[in-house]
Amino acid sequence: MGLKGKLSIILLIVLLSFSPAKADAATVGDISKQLICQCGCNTVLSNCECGTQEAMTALIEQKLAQGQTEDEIIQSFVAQYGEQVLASPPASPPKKDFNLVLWVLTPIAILGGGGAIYMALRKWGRRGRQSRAGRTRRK
Amino acid sequence: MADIGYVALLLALVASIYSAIAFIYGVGGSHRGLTDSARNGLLAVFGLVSISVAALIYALVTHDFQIEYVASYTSRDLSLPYLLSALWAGNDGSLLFWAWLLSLCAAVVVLQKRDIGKELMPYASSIIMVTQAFFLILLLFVSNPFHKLAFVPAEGMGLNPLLENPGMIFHPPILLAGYVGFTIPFAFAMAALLTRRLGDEWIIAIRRWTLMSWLLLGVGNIIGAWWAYVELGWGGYWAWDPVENASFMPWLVATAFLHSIMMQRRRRMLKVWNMVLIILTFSLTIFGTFLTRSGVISSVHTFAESPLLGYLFLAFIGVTLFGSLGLLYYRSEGLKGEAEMESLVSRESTFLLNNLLLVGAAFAIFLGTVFPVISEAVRGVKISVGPPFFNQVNGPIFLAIILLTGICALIGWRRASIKNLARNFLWPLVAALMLGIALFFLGIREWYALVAFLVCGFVLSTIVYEWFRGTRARHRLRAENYLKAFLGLIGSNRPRYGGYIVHIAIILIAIGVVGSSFYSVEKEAALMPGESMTIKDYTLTYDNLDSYETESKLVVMATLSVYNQGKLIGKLIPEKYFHRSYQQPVTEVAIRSTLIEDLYVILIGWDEDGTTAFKVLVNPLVNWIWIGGVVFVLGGLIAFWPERRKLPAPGQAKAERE
Repeated sequence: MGLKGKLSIILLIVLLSFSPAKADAATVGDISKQLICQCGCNTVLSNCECGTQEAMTALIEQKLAQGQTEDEIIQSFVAQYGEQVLASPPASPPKKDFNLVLWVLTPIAILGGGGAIYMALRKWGRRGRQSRAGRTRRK
Repeated sequence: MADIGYVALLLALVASIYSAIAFIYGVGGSHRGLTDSARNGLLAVFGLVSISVAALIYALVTHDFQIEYVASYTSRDLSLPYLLSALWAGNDGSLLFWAWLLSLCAAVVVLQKRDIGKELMPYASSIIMVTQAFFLILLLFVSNPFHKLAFVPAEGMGLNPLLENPGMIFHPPILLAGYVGFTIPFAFAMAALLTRRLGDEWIIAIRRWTLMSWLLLGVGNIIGAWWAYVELGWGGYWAWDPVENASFMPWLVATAFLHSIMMQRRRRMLKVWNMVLIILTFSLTIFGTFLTRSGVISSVHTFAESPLLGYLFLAFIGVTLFGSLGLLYYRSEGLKGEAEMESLVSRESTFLLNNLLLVGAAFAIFLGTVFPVISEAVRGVKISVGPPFFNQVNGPIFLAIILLTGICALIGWRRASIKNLARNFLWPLVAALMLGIALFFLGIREWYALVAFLVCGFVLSTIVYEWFRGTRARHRLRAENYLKAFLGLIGSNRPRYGGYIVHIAIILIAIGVVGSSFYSVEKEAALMPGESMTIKDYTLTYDNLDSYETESKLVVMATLSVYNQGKLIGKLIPEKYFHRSYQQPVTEVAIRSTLIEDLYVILIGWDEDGTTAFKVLVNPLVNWIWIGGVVFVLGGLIAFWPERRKLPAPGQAKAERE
């Protein structure tokens, strides 16, 4: 079997669904950064290299060609795979959602810690002033 | 051979348990000889685990495929470096390697000549031996690397082709050494609590151990990032994968620890907090191992899943975390700080803020990493937490940390006067503003990137400005030339100036990260031979597709001529490997790297009619991340390098504490 034959067999096995990207590449890239590949690799779609990734990317391209917006396309993926297809739970609108915890817990913790540090600094400052005052009196 | 390895492990377990107990009884007083015996037991553990490692290496090199581990991770065509690297390619082997590193650290601890911390050593050694025993139990009863197959396969499965990269030889062992090293500071902290010797002794004894582990963990991560960048073929270096997070969290907390122990030594503050930080660091290293091996959270790094191993690790984390925090609680009386502050505006305050932010960042990463599990437990809904979350939450925190780095160096200990502040801040601020204006006119208009570059410029100029002033002072005072004065300055206080060099490294890395995150350009194109595509200033002409065969794989290579503004500047050859033993093809990217930007070409695939698809990225400033990595090592080593050993004089321990 010549080189050409080998190449075409490899082609058949691995790259059946390959199709040249003709749609607006930037937008496909934008959307695939917000989705997780569903092959089990648990990486962002644009980072994966597998058949599932190719199929999902092709679907995005197809929907873009049909004139769907970014939001509509992402929602269609959520409808199909559930929330786990999103690279991160959406920040908005999270109002009543449990996912809000994920987004606000760190800022709350840091603000709380900042408050604790402020109180401690004030306490230590008072102690410092007292001991300085004590030293001056002794002199 | 396999039996020798296994029996050695069994004996090592006995020796480590004996040693752990004998150390504690030995210091009781009535059995002086027992401490020496415990010490010998500890050294025997090192010898026995070394024999076991040697046995596994022998089996790997001689292709003893009856051992399941050898058959699973190697094959006859593997070259020697990769055969050796198979030691840490799989779960069982890497646990054995972990146990060996730990026994090595333990041996160094007892052999080290120390003036400070002698009384802590037996307790610390005992705690290390308990940890050692835990790992030996895992090796003997859960993941035995010497497990034999009922038959002898003719050929092994081979190493995963993604792992055949120089990164495989350096990234895992360095990272593991960093993880393991944190056992020592933790053990000394626990020893300090147990013996109620709660002064600075333990902190002096472990400063360099902590620095070393922290350095190794940092370098391991940078090498991992580089490896991902050149090998995985998605154009990035950090994906916020759970396992990357697992090694980043202890590094962040250890960074906080390295800074806050300075506060304890100088100002007798934060004694409890330092204990908490080292307990967290150690627990997070074990948590990282748990994540990689339990299969609880899916990741590209996961070893074969083993729920039993996961539970055992979880139990170990629980015991260490609650045990050590409980002990800390009982000893908290003796850890009352003597903190006194003179002013809110002082280096102390910036250190406290830096600690808060570093631990805050680690908390955010922890939350993001485990949130999918929490969500599934609470709502029953599977979700993913990926880069959008981590970047949005951590970006501002890291920027604030870098800004504090600059402010901190300009503010004196205790209190800072307005005059002082104005003098110190004026020139760096002017320099940063000028840089900002220049960048704005050069076309950097995204405000976040602009602010980030401004902050980096500010901090960099604070360091340069301080070095300049110190050098000038030495130059004037001692009539040394500038170079000699500068080197003298660095040598005069290596921990301090090494630290500054590490700060510069972090800024260089930040510049690379900001540049490549905000200004990366990506384009896909399907080309026929002779056709061209353009990306930024580059034009790439697709010349041809070719292939060749090696013993283990078929390589398909595409050749592209690269033109920059019409001038030929070189050829790029992205490839795809088709390994005989692995189904998935492996992408070998082609990178043309300069200090300004990387041209990064991935061969995606080809069609029968000759159309070939490429993904091309231009990633600005990525090289600065690797340069930052080198500077990081340099600064770390300068801070780490031992001071010339003075003759131990009576009272020296006390003097050093002052």
